[in-house]
Amino acid sequence: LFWQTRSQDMSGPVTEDQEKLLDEALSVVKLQAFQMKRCLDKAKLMDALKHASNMLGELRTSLLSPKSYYELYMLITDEMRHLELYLLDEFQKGRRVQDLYELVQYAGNIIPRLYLLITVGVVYIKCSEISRKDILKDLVEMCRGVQHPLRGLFLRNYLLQCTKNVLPDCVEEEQEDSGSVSDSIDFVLLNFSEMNKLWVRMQHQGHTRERDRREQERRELKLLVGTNLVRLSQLDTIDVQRYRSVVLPAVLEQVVNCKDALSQDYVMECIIQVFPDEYHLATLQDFLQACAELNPAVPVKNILISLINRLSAFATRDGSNGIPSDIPLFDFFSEQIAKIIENKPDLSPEDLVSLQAALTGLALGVYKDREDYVDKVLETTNSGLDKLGRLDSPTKKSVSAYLLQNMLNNGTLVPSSEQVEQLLDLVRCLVADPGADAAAAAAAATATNSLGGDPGDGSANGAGPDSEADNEDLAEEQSLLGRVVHLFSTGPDLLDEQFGVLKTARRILATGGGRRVKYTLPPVVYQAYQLAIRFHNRQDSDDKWRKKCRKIFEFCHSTVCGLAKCELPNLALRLFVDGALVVDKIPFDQHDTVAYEFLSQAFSLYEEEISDSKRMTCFAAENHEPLRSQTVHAASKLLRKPDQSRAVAACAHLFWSGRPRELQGAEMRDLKKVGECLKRAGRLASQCMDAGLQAQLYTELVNYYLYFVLQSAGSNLDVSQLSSTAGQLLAKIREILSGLEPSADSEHIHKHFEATVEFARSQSASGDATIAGLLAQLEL
Amino acid sequence: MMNFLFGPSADLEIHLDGSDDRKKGDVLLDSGKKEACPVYFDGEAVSGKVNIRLKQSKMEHYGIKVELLGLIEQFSDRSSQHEFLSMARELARPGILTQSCCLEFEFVSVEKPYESYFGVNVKLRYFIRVTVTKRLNDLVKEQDFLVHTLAQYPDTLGGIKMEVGIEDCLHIEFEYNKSKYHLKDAIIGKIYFLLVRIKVRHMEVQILRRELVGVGPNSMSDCETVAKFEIMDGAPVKGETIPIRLFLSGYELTPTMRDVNKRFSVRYFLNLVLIDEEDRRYFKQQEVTLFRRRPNRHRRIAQEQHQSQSADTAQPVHQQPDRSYFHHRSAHFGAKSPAAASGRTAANADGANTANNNDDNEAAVSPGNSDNSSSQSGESNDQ
Repeated sequence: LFWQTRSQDMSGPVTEDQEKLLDEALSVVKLQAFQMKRCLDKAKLMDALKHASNMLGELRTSLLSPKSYYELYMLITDEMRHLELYLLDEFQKGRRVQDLYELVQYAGNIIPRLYLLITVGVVYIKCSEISRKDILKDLVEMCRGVQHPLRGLFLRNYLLQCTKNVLPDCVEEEQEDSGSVSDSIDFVLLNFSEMNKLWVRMQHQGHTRERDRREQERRELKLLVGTNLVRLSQLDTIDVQRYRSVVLPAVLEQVVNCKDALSQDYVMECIIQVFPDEYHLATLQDFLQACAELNPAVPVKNILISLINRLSAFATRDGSNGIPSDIPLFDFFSEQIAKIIENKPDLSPEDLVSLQAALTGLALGVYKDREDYVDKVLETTNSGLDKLGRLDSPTKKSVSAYLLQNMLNNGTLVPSSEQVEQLLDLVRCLVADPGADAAAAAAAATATNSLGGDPGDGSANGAGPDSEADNEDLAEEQSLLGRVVHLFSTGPDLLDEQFGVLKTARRILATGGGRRVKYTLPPVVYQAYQLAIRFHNRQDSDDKWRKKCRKIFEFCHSTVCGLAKCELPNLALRLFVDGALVVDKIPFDQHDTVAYEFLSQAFSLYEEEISDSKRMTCFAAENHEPLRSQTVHAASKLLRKPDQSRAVAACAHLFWSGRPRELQGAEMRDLKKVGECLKRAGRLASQCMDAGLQAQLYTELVNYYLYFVLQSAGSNLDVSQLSSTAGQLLAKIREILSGLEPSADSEHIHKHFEATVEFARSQSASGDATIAGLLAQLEL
Repeated sequence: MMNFLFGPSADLEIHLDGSDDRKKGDVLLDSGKKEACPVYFDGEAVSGKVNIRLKQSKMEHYGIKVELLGLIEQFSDRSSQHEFLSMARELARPGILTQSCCLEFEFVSVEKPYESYFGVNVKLRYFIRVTVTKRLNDLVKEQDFLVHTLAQYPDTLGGIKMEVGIEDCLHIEFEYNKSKYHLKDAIIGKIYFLLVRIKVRHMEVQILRRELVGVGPNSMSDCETVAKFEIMDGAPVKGETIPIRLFLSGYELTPTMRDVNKRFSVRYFLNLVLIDEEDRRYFKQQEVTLFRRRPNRHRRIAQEQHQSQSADTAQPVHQQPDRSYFHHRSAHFGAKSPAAASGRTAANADGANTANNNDDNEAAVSPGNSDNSSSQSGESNDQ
């Protein structure tokens, strides 16, 4: 009676609290289950069936959400186990209740009737397999009577659960009457397609505004549908042949025809996951064909990627035989993917790229020796991404960035000029601004200049109105691109081709403007430097290496000059200097002139552009007299006195450790010049107004003096001049320090000074006579 | 009876031969009680004994006779009892009984043309009546027995197949495997949905019994829902096929009686009812003929068929106490709707509306708001 009172408002709105409804239903179930079990104990089967029927009647409700309904279902099916066990027990004792299968069908309501029928049917099967085939067929057919999606899904799930261990699993010849595996297949396939239909139908019920909720509810129920496929995969007798000819076609037909995106997405994924890889290999074409026919809303790429990844893993797994050679796996996939791209004009570029990335993974994982496959992927990707032109800029960029990141992760090499060209064309939104952007940037730059804007720093060029974040994004993208440049490699042997690649890369990357070349060209230059070294290393096998090296350096020179013109003097300077270092190591004809050219360029850049004195230390290892004097000259021209002082002091090293060619690699150790430099530095320091700063500079100078004194120890150089100057300095420092106000700065200087003195003491203690003399002089 | 007022001078007891072995069935007595009585078939002899136990030392009588009677009684008019069968034997000439005695009787090959029937407005009963004629109060004793009429139709007879619908709304095709079913039969069929534009909530097959008593202006009709059997839950879509399997032995049914002595008829209909979410009903009635199967060699063939349906070929079918108990309650089993549980009250309500029943073969799927509005014309769009 209970359900009947509620059945009045079965179509009413679901306003009542789910929890309350569920509790009510559960308590009815518990009561009825209790009475059922009591009747079973007293062997009153008919009364027990009546209570079972009342209990099952609770499943007729329309008021519960799928989640609550599931809970109710679980409790009820749990209780039904008691009935099943009782019947099994009775049957096995030989006490059969005749016509039970017919008796339970007198139940007036279909839901309790079918649950009882399934329960009894399975008991019959378990007791005697003779009519197994007919009962299974009858059960799955009778379930058609429940067309309500939720109730139908659970009923059929009950059918599937109950028949779990009784499905015939043998080939036709063995068992005529009790059925064979093909009966099981028919059974599960029918159940599957009916359940799928019900599941799809759920989507079309009720208000459109509850669409999202319905989708969510459907997702919660997907496992019920998938269990069918799991059951099929558990039938041992289904071999590849049967899978290909019977199982898969039926599943695919149902999936394709249902036209429901959620279902297609899930079932396809489910097929991939539950059946063995060998089966997938044997049916690849059918499967992929079906993929191409799915609802456009289905993320086919996920399905394909999942399949590709699974097969890649399968092929590379230990103990597997790999992909059979008669299955052109790669060709299948690449054709299918091409088809999908063709059939789905609105396929998002992200999807497209991730598809191609999975394909690359397959090519790299399974076909290690087939580099042309990777080429093919890139080619397809390229043509596919022609559509990128239609995208808005951020999407384009993120797609390109994704592609690049993927290359980096996989270490995909780009081995030819053509491919470099293709690749850069593909990501051209990163390589250069589109026309409009460039114009805007130019205008912005003018505006900045007219306002007297941001001087000096190269990155400010063209930054215009871009926000800080934009600049960060740009830096990120461009360094990605820069890293990819390192992947432009033809391999260890094809050096000439490598040069070609670099030339191509430069040609294209140079179009990016100052903001970009800052990140992208340096890798090209360094790659070129490296290439030169490799040519040098191979001098025995290539007699033209000298000429080629020269060519490379010319290339580098023009590139770096280009950078310099883009108002990136710092960068150009560093590249020139590093270049000079490389030239130094490679003794090709006139390499000294080339090195000179590099350095002189660096100087002229320095003179013209750089005001930051810190760069000075770069010059510490130079070769030529003019450069040295130029350096000193340059140092003394620095703007701020402290900088001047420091730079000139640093220049002292030039005259000490420089290795001009005349001395055949020995250090020049020009003590006189060193002394002059230091003195000059001291003079400059003394011109500082700030006493603290002065003390700091003096302390640093004392360090220089100590260094040179220690360096010359054991040589015949006279360092007395140096040590006396140092002594004077120390005295001065003491004086200044004593007059300083205590502060963080003065504290710091004090410490530095103490440390210096401590160092000198330790040296003298270690028995250095000169130092000891010096220290004596300093009256420590 | 009158004789009880004065105390009977003797007890009469009628014992029908073989009644312990005979199949029994319920007879609905005037008191409303049910009594299990033996079943006879057409042409069978009815024989037995009359035991007369005297309570006094002697009893004078003016003759003892035994009658076999077939009566049709209309409840509305007690006086209009109609004897369609009347046979009499004289058991003893007038005289004096001095001791208890046992008198045998036999009616050989009695033609029993009609089935016993206990309906809403009419009753058809058979009984043996023994009368001891006395000066003042006759001693009378009656003993009811049941008559079952048997029939046999070939199984190859075609079934019922029909397409019905309401234009642009609902279009179905239904099929029952036969048009004539025996009482232990199962109705096998299916519903095929060709077009569904309404939100069906569920669908059921009902068995209706229509009893028509009398002729002309005085006739009385009654329609009773004997069974309600849900065959579909939820809304199907176009293309779905819903199976029907309804075992008749779960219900209290009689054979179809088309014309019983020009007094009444009892006919059965399968009513396919669809109920939509607004509780509108769409239904289509089809007459089926019910009959009692002749228990002969055909029975065995039919039994095998029956067993394959019950999916138990291992054992022969027996009548078990359990089962009849279950049958008895089956109308309550699961379906707790008032109509099914207390069929008669609902039936009376139905009866009032179906008094002017139309041609039963008229195809009508009619939307209406309840079962009772069986006016099959009106809104319906006949196909």
